[in-house]
Amino acid sequence: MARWTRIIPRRRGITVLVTLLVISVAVLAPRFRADGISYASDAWTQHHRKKLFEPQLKRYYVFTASDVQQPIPNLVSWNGAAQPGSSQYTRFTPVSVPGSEVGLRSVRVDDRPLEASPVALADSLTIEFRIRHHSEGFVRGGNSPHSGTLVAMGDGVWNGFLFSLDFPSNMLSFQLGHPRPEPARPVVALSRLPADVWTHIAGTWDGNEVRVYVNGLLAGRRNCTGPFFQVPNSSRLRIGYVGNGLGSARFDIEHLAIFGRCFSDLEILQTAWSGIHGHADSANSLLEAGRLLVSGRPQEAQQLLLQLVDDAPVHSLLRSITEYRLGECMRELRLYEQSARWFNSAASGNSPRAIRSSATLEQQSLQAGLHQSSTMEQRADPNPAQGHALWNQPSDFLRAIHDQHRRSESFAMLEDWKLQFVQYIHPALARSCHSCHSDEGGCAPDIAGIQTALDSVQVGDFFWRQLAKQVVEHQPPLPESALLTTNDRLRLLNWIENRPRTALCEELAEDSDAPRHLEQEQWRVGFGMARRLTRDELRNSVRDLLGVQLSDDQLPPPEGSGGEGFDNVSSTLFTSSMLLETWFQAVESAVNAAIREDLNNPAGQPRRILSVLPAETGDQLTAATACLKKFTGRAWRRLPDEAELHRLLSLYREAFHETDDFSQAMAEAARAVLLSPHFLLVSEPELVDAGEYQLLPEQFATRMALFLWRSLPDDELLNAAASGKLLLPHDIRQQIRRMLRDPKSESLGQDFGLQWLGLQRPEEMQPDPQSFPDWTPATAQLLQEEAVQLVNHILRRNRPLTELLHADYLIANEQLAKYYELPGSGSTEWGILQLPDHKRGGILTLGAVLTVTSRPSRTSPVLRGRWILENILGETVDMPPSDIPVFPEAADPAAPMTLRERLEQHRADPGCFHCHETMDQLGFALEEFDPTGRLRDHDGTGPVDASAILPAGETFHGISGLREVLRDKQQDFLRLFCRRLLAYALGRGIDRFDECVLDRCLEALADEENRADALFEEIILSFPFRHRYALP
Amino acid sequence: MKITRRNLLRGLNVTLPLPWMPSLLARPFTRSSDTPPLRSVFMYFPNGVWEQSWTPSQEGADYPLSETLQPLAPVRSDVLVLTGLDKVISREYISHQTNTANFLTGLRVHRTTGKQLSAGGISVDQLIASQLEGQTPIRNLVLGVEPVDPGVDRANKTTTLYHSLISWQSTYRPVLPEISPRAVFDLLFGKPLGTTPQARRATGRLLDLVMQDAQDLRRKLGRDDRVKLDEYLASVESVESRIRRVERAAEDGTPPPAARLPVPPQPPPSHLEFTDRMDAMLDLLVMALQSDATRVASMMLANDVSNQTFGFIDVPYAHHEVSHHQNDPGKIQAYERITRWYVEQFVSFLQKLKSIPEADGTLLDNSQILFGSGMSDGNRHDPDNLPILLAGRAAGTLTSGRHLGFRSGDTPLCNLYLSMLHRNAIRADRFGDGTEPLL
Repeated sequence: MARWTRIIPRRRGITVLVTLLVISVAVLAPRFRADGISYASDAWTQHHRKKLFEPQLKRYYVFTASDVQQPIPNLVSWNGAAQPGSSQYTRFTPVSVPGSEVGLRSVRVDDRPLEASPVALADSLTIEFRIRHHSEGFVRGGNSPHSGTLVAMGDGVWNGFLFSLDFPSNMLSFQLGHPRPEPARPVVALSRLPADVWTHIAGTWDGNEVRVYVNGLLAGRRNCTGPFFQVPNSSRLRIGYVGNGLGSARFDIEHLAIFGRCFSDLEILQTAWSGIHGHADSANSLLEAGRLLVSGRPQEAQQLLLQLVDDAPVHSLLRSITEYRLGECMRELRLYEQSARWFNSAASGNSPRAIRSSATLEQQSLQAGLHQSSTMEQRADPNPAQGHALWNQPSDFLRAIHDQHRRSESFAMLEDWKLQFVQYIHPALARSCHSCHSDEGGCAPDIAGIQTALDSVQVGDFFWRQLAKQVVEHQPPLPESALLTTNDRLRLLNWIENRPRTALCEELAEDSDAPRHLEQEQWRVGFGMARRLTRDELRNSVRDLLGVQLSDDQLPPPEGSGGEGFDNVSSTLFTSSMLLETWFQAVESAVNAAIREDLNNPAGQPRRILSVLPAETGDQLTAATACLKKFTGRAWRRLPDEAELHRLLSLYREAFHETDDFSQAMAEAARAVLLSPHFLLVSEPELVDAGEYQLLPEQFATRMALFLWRSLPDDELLNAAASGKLLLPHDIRQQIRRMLRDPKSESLGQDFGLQWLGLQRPEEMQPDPQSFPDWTPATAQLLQEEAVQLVNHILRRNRPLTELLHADYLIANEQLAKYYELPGSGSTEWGILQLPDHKRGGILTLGAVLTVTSRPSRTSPVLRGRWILENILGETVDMPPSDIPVFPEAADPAAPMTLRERLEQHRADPGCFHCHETMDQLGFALEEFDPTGRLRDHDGTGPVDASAILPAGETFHGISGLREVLRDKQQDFLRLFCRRLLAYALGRGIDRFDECVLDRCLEALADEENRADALFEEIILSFPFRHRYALP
Repeated sequence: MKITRRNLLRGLNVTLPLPWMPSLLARPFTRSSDTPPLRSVFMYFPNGVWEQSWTPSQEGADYPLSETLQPLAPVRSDVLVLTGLDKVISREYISHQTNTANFLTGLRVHRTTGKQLSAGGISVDQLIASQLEGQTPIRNLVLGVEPVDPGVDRANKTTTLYHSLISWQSTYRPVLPEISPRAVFDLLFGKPLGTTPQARRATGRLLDLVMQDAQDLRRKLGRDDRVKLDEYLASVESVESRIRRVERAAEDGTPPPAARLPVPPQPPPSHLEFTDRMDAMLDLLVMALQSDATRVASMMLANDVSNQTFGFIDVPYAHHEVSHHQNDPGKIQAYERITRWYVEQFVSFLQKLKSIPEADGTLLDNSQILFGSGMSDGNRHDPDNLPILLAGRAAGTLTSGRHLGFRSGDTPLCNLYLSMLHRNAIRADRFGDGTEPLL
């Protein structure tokens, strides 16, 4: 027999609500005055109390059940005795029974729904409750058992609101009624509601948007404007049945509160979690744990969770609410012993998940890992009881609440930021800049086009960052009236500096075209598409699989690039019949070579294809099966399923039948493996219908190997993926470090490095043979190799990334040292060469860079300056306009001008000034280096002049001066570097939402002295790298 | 017996004659030996021209050759000089990429660093190839000399792929030029898919298996990924249909392309520098057309923005660098010289075609060969008044040897493509922005 309690708050002595019975108001009112009531310090009580004093609280029910075990001390409230109403409902009428205790138990809503009078609501609302459902609906009123009502007021379709669950999918939906002819459209929680565990559910509406939350996390949202459609007086507020159109759900409910205002994300989180574990601020502790986890400090996160648990006089109900989540968090964090202790001490046997020994948990965890790596079909249709899709990894839950909090915090900042735009920034820009920086004015960028606060958001982060640079550095030679005042300048810079980027990401996401309710987190995932392996990846994969080195000639032609300028972008990688035929031949020759090797070396090295011989099994088919399983598993980065293996084997059998030769038939099957799309394409079959999800471990392993090695994962990595050792950040970090130290990661210098620096084609270095007679094509190769070696040294040996700019050493061999006229080591091996001065060191002084940015017979300060702007400072340089005046070559032979004088004359032209003022100056500082990258004193016309002036008036000299200037820009460089590496890792362009990942990369670098490992770890652990978004 | 691809291939193999023998009794044309077929070639050269040296001063048949067109002298009666043709859409946004990628489509290039590459539609060479599909062993050739330019153009926010290709199999599927003479040789005359029936059966089995793999995989992939898988599937299908054509030809007793040449072709060496590679490619193209291995080809003599240096003709500049001549007379001279060099390559190609007799005329007589660039003045990247030559008599339907000046602003380049399509019996009303045949 269920009883219920309705707590009606009073504020400043005014009755907020109309109750069913006037008499009850009279009885209740004095009891609930804010003053004169003392509450215990008990956290749960405080939590309730907080709600009681919420000004817009409309209704608050705390339910009790007959099996009261632990009363809440000092919470003054009443038991409501259920009165049998009509045949259908249990009507709850508050009857005061002062002084009695309220037990924290729930009512089971099954045989009889609960009913009360409707609540008056207007322009915004929050409804929150805690339930435990049993994944079961049943027929009521002749309606389908496949969906059941949780809480509703009115009919929830043409008026009022409705929370319902679908069975057996356990999908939660929330909707506000809408007058005919347009019925309500529900907002559906992104994920399924776990059965048999206590779950907090909340729905809010702010007049524009309905949102639904599960355990404090935003789980779905949808546009919904217009007034709230009040229900007729005759209608009811009901728990368990809406009255029409929908069946009932079987569930327990613990409390229900209705408020007349819309709660923020944080408030919902607090409501869902506060008061639990005896901590009034346990929501904050969870947030903090999330922050620690996200910033890579799982140990501290563990400590915090333990503290939460240990301090808690855990109430049995509350324990069962939280054990599901926290228990699993701890399990994932390998706190088996502690979690078992906690489960044991707190358990009362109430929950099916209550007590588990640490051994069982260990076992389970192992199974979880195995389950992850089992077939896709299993994953594609997860057990509904498995819980929230967002939280497939329990620690994702902590991350998710942390992220949500970050966003909602910065959301408020965003509003403020937009307001500032309207009040100050736009007027200032209009005053000083619009006359020229507009469509008609023709100056770039077009600032006048940015009219509203929304525009200011939509132009994106990059635009403003560029503008800030311009405001600081480029004071154009303009009339006084057009200059920003100091005040405006500072305000503008401050405004740009303080843009709340996380919220910007959110706002931008909402502005995209994708359907809203599905793209809650989509911005973090970006865009990923199946692609074929690149030429380099094909080469490396064959090397690692078969031990065969394919020649340039055997491989398909080099690819073009997309995104940030790398060749691994899906949309610029194509498969053609020509490519297949080329690959066909390459595979044939490589497989034959490997088979030959296998046969010649039966007892020595591990065999590549013929890992098992018929002589060893006594039967060729058994041997073939074993060989194919192993070989295919490595080539396809996963085990073949039965159908696939069967197909390969029948091909083998036919070939064997024809040739009667084991190795020849195996060669044919191995060729099929390497021609299959499972090898040739990096495709990630989707595990869910729509939305984002975490990649399977082996898919993740493939991404890792392609990023760090440009090759396939090795056995160790695949084994880690299969045995659940590629799930925890700790294990992943360990693999990353191992992989970076493996020689295969030299692809970072060879592929990433050369593409990043624009040095893939040594033939582009073409010094004039007359001026530089000792230059040979081998010199170009040598200088290219220098770049590869430097990048590898820094990235593979965990050096600070700042050394890319300012290393005080060279990576050189004897030949290079000789070329640079430095005392060398005498060795042909590449190694660290300490420098007597700091003239050289880092990418700026790479011979290849200096040569590629020179004209055949002279240096080009313009090209060098442009290279620095584009590759170090992250600025774009526009193409010169077509109507630029003739560049003054030495026009008058009587008075020859130096290159510098000619450039200065060129720059004096206002049309040229804007671009060249910085570009040329940066380039001048490199005048100490000749067109082939060597130091020089004279440039043919006289002593070298390497002095330069920045637009702000700062003067500097030579490479050392340039280093100082760039030291101030170190953050710009690091951000750009992170951006390029992230793009390379993801194989796509960086969209504006990825800026948020870059923020985190920079934070991680700052914590770790800018060490390379930190960046690799941050990228690989980042959300877009581990997740995928499936289009609906 | 269930008819699968594999069985079909195997069935064909049963009737295969012995391995092909080079035959001196060349039977050049598979369908009809009376009328030689029409060949269509589209040739691209990079970085525009110095217009004043390009455009002849008079129109008509007696026009004096301009400076850049001097090399045409030995073939002037076989060439039409067409001036005043525009590619209007490229005016929307002027860049190397938006001038080049749509050279053969005439439609809008979607500016992107990667997502949704598009030049608006199928290119004219591919459209002709699809019309002639199945008539020759090779559907068509897409050739180049320089590797695809790596990187993205950060200023224009476009991938440099766009200035490294001109052929589009469909709106969203570009075809990258093949730059290895060796690979082209293998395709035309080699034995990439096995010479023995046994090897061909193995190939059939392989393709059959990967096709099933691909169809299985397709069901598991997301919407976008399927696009990429379909590309793979289409490629496998096209390899298969090529095998089938080869089988059928062998069955018919039709000699393979290599056997139709007077001298058996020799494979080119594998490492060739720019000029040698271009020579090799052009020779392969001549042989492909001569042996009727294919009737359609496009070729980029170099990528746009090519910075090839020309020390070998005593020009001390790189091509793209000097195309931004900024009206400097010295640079203009160098720029003109480089363009003239490209015209020389074209002319030497034409002379080879002209030296091959075919029916009552020459191979050149039975061809329509376009030569052009995506912009006029390289300093302005101007897509108007494009430099265009059309060589060959298209089987007697063209009166060549003239300079035809059209009014720039009125006449789309695509009108010319429309005429070339019509000569291939593609009765399109429109192509790109072209609405009526030019010639």
